Amino acid sequence: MNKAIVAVALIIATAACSGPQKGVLSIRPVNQQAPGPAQDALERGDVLFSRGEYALALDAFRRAVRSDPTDAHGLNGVAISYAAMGRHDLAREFFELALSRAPEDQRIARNFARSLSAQGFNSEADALLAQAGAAPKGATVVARPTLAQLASAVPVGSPVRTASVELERMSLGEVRLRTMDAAATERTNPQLTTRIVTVAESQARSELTAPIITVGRLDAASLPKFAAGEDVRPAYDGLFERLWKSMAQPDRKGRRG
Amino acid sequence: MILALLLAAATPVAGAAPAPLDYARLVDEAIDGGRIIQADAMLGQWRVAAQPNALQAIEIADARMALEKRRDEEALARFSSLERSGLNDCRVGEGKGIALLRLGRAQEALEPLRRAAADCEGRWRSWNALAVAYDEAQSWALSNAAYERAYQLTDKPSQVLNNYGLSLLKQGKAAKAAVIFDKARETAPDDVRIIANGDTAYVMGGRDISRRPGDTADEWARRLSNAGQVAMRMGDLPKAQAYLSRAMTEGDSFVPDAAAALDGMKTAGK
Repeated sequence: MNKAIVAVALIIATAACSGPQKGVLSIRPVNQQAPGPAQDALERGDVLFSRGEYALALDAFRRAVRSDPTDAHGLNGVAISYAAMGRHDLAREFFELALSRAPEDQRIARNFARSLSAQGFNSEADALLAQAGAAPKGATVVARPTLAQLASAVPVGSPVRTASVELERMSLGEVRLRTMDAAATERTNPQLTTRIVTVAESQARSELTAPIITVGRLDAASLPKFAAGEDVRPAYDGLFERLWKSMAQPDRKGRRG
Repeated sequence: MILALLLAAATPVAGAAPAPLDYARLVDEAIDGGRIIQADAMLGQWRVAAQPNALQAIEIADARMALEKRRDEEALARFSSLERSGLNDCRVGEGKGIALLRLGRAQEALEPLRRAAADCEGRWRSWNALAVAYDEAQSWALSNAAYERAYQLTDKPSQVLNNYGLSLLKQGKAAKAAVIFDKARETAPDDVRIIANGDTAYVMGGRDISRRPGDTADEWARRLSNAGQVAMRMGDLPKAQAYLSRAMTEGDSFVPDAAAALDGMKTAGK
C-alpha cells in the first residue's frame, strides 16, 4: 500500500518537473543582444522610469544606447536613471553625451542642471541653464559681496560640543582628558594630559603604580583678548585633577592586567 | 527632484527642420562650462561637418581642449602658433597665459594675460589667471583687484575663492584665508583641494581642524596628516607630532605620509 502511494507521488513529482516549458532560457554576451528596434527599449525605459523602477529603466535605456549610441533620448534616459539613483557622478557623463547630440534641447539641460543642483553646484547649474536659454524667467541676479567683505567676516566658531568628557590622543604615548563645557570656548576647558602607562611598564617598574599626570594649566598669554569688563577667568576648577587622582589611588584601582 | 526628472523624461520633440548647429559657440560654451566630454564629442562632429572658413575656430577649440586636458606644453605650442598667425582673440592670450602659468613661467604669462583681460573685460578666467600671475610677482594690491573682478564675473566662485585664499596665505593672512576657504567649501563641499587648503589656513592661524560628518576614517586621517605636515613646516613640532600620531591611529588604513613625517621627526630629534 505504502509502496503504491510513494510510486504515485513520484510520478506526480516527475510529471511536474518535466512539464512543457513555456520560455526558453538562453545566455548571450551583453554585446550580442537579440536585434530589436531601439524604439522599443526607449519606450520600455520611459514606462519603467515613470513607475519608479530606475534600475530596470536604466537597463532598458542602456540597451537603446547600445543599439544607437547617438540617440539623445537614450543617453538622456541613462543619465536621468543614474541621477534618480543618486549616482550623479555617472549621470554627468551621459548628460554631456546627450547634450553633445542635442545641444539645444532644453529638457536635457534642465535635467543636467537639476543633477548639478542636487550636488550643490548651483552656480554651474545656473550657468548651464543660461547657456541653454532655459533659465527661469524673472530670475533675479543677486549681487555678491566683495572678497574684502568676505575676508573681513568674523570666523565661524567651532560647533558646540555637548559631550561632557573627551579623551583625545595627543601622541603615541600621551592622551588628554578634558571637559566639554558648552558655554566655554575650547581654550578655556580644563584639561589633563597624561602619559600612557602599559601593564608591561608598570610591572617592570614597581614604583610606577599610577600614570604620570601633568595638569594642563592655562597660559595667560594664550587666552583670547576680551573687552574690558568681561570675565576672563578660566573655567579650571581642579575637578578633573581630583577625579583623576581618586581614580589613580592604588587601593581603589586594584591591579590591572 | 525624481518627480521633476520623471516629468522631463519624455522623448525630446523632433524639430520640423533642424537648423545647422553653431558649433563654434556650442563648443566654446561647453569648454567654459567644464563639460569636456560634451566639448570633445561636439568637436568631433564639427570636424566632420566643417566648412573651410571654420578651420581657425577649430584650431582655437583644439588648443583650448589641450589646455583643459592638462596637456600644457601642447596647448602653449598651439596658442603661440595662433598668435604668430596674427590672430587677435582674447581666448588665445588667455590660453597662452594660463599654459605659461602652469609651466611655471609666471613672468612671461603677465603680458598676454594683461592684454586678454583688457580686451575682454567680461572673461573671469583671464582675471583669475592674471591675479595668480600677480601673486607670483607678489604684487598683492594688483592681485587682490584682479581676484575681485574675477569673483564678480565667475560662475565658479569656489575656484576664485580657493585661489584668493592661497593668495592670502602667501601674504601671511591665515585667519582671513580660513574664512575664505570656509566660504569656498559652502559652494564646493567635497573639493579635496579646498578642504586641504582650508586645513592649512586653520593650522597656520593657530586653530584646530575638526572632522566633518561626511569624512571617512581614511579621509580624516589624510587631513590630520596634512595638518601635521603644515605644523611641522611651521616649526610647531609638538602640534605636528600630535596631528601625525592621530593620523596613524585614527585612520583605517596606513598613512605613509604621516609615518614618513613622524619618522623624519624622530631622526631629526636624535
